[in-house]
Amino acid sequence: MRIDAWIMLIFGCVILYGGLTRSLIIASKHSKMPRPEGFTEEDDADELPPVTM
Amino acid sequence: MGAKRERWDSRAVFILAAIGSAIGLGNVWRFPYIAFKNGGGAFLIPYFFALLTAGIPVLILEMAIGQQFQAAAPGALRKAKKWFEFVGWYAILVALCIVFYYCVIMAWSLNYIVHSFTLAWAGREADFFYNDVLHLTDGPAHLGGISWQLLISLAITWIGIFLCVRKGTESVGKVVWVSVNLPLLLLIIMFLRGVTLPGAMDGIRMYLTPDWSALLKPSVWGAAYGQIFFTLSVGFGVMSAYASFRPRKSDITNNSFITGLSNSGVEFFAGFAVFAVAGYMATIMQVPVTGVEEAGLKISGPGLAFITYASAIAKLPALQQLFGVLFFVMLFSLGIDSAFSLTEAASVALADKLKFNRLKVNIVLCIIGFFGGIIFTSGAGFYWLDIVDNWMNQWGLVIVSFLECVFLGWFFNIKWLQETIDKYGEIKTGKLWIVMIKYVTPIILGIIIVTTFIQEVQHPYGGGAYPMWTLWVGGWGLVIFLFALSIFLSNLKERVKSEVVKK
Repeated sequence: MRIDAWIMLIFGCVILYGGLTRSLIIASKHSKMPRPEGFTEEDDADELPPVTM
Repeated sequence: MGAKRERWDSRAVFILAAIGSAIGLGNVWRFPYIAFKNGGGAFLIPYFFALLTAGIPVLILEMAIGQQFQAAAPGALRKAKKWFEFVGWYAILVALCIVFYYCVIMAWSLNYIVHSFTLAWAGREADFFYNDVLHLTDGPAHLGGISWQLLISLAITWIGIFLCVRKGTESVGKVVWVSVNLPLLLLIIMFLRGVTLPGAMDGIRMYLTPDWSALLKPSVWGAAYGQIFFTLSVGFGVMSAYASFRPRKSDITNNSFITGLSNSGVEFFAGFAVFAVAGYMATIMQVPVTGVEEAGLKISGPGLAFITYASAIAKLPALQQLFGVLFFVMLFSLGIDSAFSLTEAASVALADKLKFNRLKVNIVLCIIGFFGGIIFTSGAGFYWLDIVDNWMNQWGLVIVSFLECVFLGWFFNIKWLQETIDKYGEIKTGKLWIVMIKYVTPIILGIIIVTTFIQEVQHPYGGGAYPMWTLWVGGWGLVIFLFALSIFLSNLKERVKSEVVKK
């Protein structure tokens, strides 16, 4: 295989690594995701700060 | 304060659900072929560029509105500005149309799983697919009869989808652990089987060898942007619906990057399994790999899966039945999480607007989905599927993504959204994201829309194979109908909680 084909293969593998590995890490670290520190159940609520143009 | 909203069990479940929605049949039968036709390995450069400048920014946008406004696409867009709502409904209706025929393709896979035990297609793959499975007629005007085998498979598929979505995030959250990981595992098995076949390296070489001159062609860049939009499940309202079950004050950007990169990684990987088999078939047929298509074998679309791959499986030196079952289970499982995510997007949108019980909405949607798919199980179903698929992709998700970017970028306080995203995001997007949403993505999508329209007017879809009236009914007519219906739905008064309580 040509050297540039190998380079593109490595490039593709980096994309694969970037996505799948990161998601696997998150999946293993956050099997139960707690709320970020300082947040309460109210932060999940259906309310928004005002949005203006 | 509104009623308590459903929540994903964990962030991992949400990411898996988003990845499962993005990864579908197109990853296997669209990307490898598009890459091969547009510069081979060199295609990865415009593709990756398109992912970063358009795909992930729109993914962030859709997840952000769902998460910040705690509503599916129509509700989220309504909360941004009332007159945006119809875009959300248009996305949902397009998603529903797609899931009608998508489930029929899954029904084909179910049929093939059963036929794998006897390798019923061996030696006459194309004839088997078109005549024995599809009962294909001579054109879309001649409907023919309904295939009862496909109808039963379609019913089983919809029952499966209902079981996945019946309890909303609770059941989806459990299913995605299997529905995302199983097809990946099977893809790895098919990859290992493929690359150990004689001639596989010739196919892979063809897939990866870059044609650098392709980078100078605008059409190659257009194909890269097109592929990114078709593959990421943007423009269907799925990502907004899924993100609406996440707490408002949590990350969006990293989740979008993980979803986008995982999807791209999987389709890049799938190319090896596809081209290894193309190389194997070329070796058996004693033609160069580039001549496989001329020899009558397809390396994209349903033809790749149900003719070329089926043919390669029948010609394996051993364990043909086992690999047949594994391959078609892989196809089915690749499709099911995309299918139920499209159903979920519609279910959440309707439940948000009309305050209906989600279980009842899911039951009704699955029944409608089954009946909506019946036309595609007829003898002319394959033609109608092809027509509807073309219009839903070209004039569905591309238009939705374009309008979302223009409306939210230019008629809404996008700076507020960007600051909110960055406040909780693990990756900061900064002003660059606003530039992508306001300028880069709409310009590129605008060019795609205009060129596709001109091409369609000059050379109607199908190259003359379809009568014009079928293109009007299944194409333009359907798009216009969905657009009108989305405006009607956006004008429906939202039911408030008190009305529901009274009833």
